[in-house]
Amino acid sequence: MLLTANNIIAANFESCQGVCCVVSQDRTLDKNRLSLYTKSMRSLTKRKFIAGALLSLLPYLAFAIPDHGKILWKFSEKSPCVFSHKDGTPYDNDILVCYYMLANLKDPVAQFNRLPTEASQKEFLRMISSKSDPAFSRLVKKERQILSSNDFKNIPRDTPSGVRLHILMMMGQRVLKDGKKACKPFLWPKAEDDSYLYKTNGDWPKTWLPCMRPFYARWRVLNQKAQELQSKEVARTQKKVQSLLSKIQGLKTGKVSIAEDSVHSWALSNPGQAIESPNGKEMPSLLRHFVLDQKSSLPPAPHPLSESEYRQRGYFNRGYAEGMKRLKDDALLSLSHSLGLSHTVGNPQEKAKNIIYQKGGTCAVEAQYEVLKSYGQKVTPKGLAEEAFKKGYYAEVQLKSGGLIGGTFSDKDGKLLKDHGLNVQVFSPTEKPAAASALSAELDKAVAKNGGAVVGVEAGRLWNDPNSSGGHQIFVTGEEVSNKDGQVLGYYINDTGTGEAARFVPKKDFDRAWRGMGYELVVFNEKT
Amino acid sequence: MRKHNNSRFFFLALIFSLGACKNSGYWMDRLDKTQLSQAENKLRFGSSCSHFIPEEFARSIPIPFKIKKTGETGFKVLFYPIATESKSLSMAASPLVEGIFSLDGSIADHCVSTTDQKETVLRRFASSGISMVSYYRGKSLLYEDLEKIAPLYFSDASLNDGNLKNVQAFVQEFKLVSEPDLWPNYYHLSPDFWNWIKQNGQSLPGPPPLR
Repeated sequence: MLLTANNIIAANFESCQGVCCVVSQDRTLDKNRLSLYTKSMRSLTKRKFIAGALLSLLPYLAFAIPDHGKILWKFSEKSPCVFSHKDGTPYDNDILVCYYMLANLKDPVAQFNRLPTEASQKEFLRMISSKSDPAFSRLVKKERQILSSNDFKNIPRDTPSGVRLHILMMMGQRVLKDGKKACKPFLWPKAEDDSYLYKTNGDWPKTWLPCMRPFYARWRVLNQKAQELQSKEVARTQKKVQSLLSKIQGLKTGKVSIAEDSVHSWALSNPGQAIESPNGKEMPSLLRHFVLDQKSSLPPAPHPLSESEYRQRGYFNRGYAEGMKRLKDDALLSLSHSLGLSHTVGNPQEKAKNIIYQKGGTCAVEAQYEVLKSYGQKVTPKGLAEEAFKKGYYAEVQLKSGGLIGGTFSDKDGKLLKDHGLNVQVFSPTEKPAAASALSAELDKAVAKNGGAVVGVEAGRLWNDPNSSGGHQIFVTGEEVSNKDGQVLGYYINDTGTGEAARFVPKKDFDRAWRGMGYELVVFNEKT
Repeated sequence: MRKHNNSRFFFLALIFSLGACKNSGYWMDRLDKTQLSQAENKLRFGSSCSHFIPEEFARSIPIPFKIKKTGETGFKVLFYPIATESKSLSMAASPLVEGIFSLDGSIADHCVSTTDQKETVLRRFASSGISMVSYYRGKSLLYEDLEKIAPLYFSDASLNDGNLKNVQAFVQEFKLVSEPDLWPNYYHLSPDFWNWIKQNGQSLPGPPPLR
C-alpha cells in the first residue's frame, strides 16, 4: 500500500471505523505526524509522477490491468468513505479526498455513482484531488504555524503562575479554534451547535479526528499543563490548611499550650486566613473560649478531601484569580469550622457530584436536573432538555448566521420538578425591595428543611464578569451559618454555567446577584 | 515650585485612589437604588413583560423618548439573547423584545416583540477589558446622569453649564458601558433624543444605523 497522506491519517484514527480498518494500523506513525505529512506530500508527488508515466503507457498495459467494473461509493453515516468495485473488490481512495468531496460538493455520492464508467469516475476523483491537494498543503503549512505558536515551551520560565495559567488556557482555546478553521475544507459533517437537542449533542463528529488529531493532541498537552499548575496551587493551599488545622487540633487536645496573645500573633502571621475570617476580630476571645470549653467534636468542614473532589468543583473554571479566591474562601471555611465559629447547613459535598457543564441556555433545565439527581431520580441532562423542549418550557433557536440562542421562560420555573413528582413552590421575580428579607428567609428555610433551592441570579454579578449579562439559574446546595448569632454567612452553589460545584458565595455578593433577577426562587420537597 | 506641584499631584492622586477603592458591590448597590433601575425591574419582572422575556435575556440601557403629538414621555429598553457559539465564547444576538416604561406612570409598562427585525449577531456586548468596578461605576453614574438629563430633554429646557456637564458625562459613560454593536439599535429607539444630545455638542460615534 502506498504511503499516502490519507492512509497515514486514517492509521492514526483512534476508533477504527469503515475504511480506516482497511489501512494498516502503524502506531509508530503517531510519533511525528508533521514529518510524515511532509513525506506524504513527497509521496503524493511521486505517486503523481508514477501515475502520469503509467497513464502514457496505458494503451500498452491495458491488457495487464484487470477490469473490476464500475466503482460504487457505499455511503453510510458510520463509514462514509467505502469504495468498491462492482465485483466486490475494494477500491482504495484517499480518505481526505473523500471528506473534501463530502464537505464541498452537493450530494457527491449520487454524483459519483451516477457517472457511467470507471474511467470517468477515476477522472472525477483525479479532478477532485487536484483541488484537495493544494488545500491539503495549505493545511500542512497552517498546522505547523498553529502548533509552533501554541507551544507551552514558548512561555518564559519565570512567568507568574496566574499569567502562565491564563496563557495556557488561551493557547488551548486558540489551538482548537484555529485548527478547526485550518481543517475546514476537510471537515464533514458540519459541526452542530452546542445543544442537547441535536443528534451529536454538540460534540465533534468522529470523522473530524483524522484532520483535527494534532490540534486535539496539543490541546490535551496544554490542558494537562494547566491542570498540573492548578493541582500545585491546590496542594499548596491544602498543605497550609492542614498545618493550620493540626495547630488547632493541638489547641483542642491541649497538646499545645499557647497564651492568648501568642494565639493572636499566630493568627496575624497567617494573612488571608485568620485575619479575614468571617468573625476575624473576635478570634482571640473565641479561641480562648474554644480552647477552654471545647467539649464536643465539630461537624467537618466542607472543603474537598481529595484531588478528584477538587477537580470536580472546577475551582479555576473562571480563571486563576477567581480560583485562588475560591481556594482561600474554602481554607477560611475549614478554619472557621475547626474553631467552632460556623457550621454548614445542607450537604454541598454530596450534591457537588451532580455538577455538569450546561449546553446552550439550559441553566434552568440543568439546575432542575441536579435537584432531581439529588433525589435519586434517573434523569440525564440531554433527556431533561429534550423533555423541556417538547413541553414548551425551554425554547431554542439556531441563528442563520451561526450560534444558538436558548432560554427558559420565567412562568415555566420549576415545572420539570413538578412533572417529576416533587412539591414545588415558585416565588416569581419581584421588583419590590421589601420582599427581599421575606424571600431570604424562605431560601434559608428551604435549605435547612429540604437541603436546597433553585434561584435566579444575574450572571455577570455572580461570575464577577461584566461581559456576562443576562439571567441565570443556579442550585443552592447549602449555607454557612454563624454559631455565634445564627446569621447566614454565605451560600454554597452548583453552577452549570461555569461547571463549578460547592462554590461558596458570601451572602452580600449572593444577595446582589440574586437581586439582579428580582429574588427569583423555586422551593421544592418530596411528596409525602 | 516643582516640589509644590508634585505634592499637589500626589494629594490629588491620593484622593482619586481613595475614591477608586470602592468595590463593585458598592456601585451595584448604588445602581440598584436609582429610580430608573427600579422602574426597569418593575417592567422586567411585571406581569406585562415576564412571559415575553426568557430568563437568560440581557437588558440594555434605557433611552428616553417623547411623543410630541401626545406629549407622552418615557423610556425604551431592549432585551436581547446571549447566543452560545462554544463553551468559551458567548455573543449577543440582536434584540428581540422592546420594553416601554415611564418613571411617573404616565405610560403603562408594556413590551413589544421585535422579531420582524433582520437577524443580526452582535459580537461585542461590552467594552473589552473593562473591569467589574469600572463597569458598575460607569453604569450607576450613567443611570444617575440619565435621571438628571431626561427631564431636561422631555421639557426642552435650555441647558446651563451644569446640565451640559451632565450630558457630557452621560455620553462618556454610555460609550464605556453600552454594547457597541447595539449603538444603531439605541439610535433607532429614540432618534429625537440623540439629535437633542447632538444639539448639545455631544454625539454617539459608531456604525451607521442598521434599520
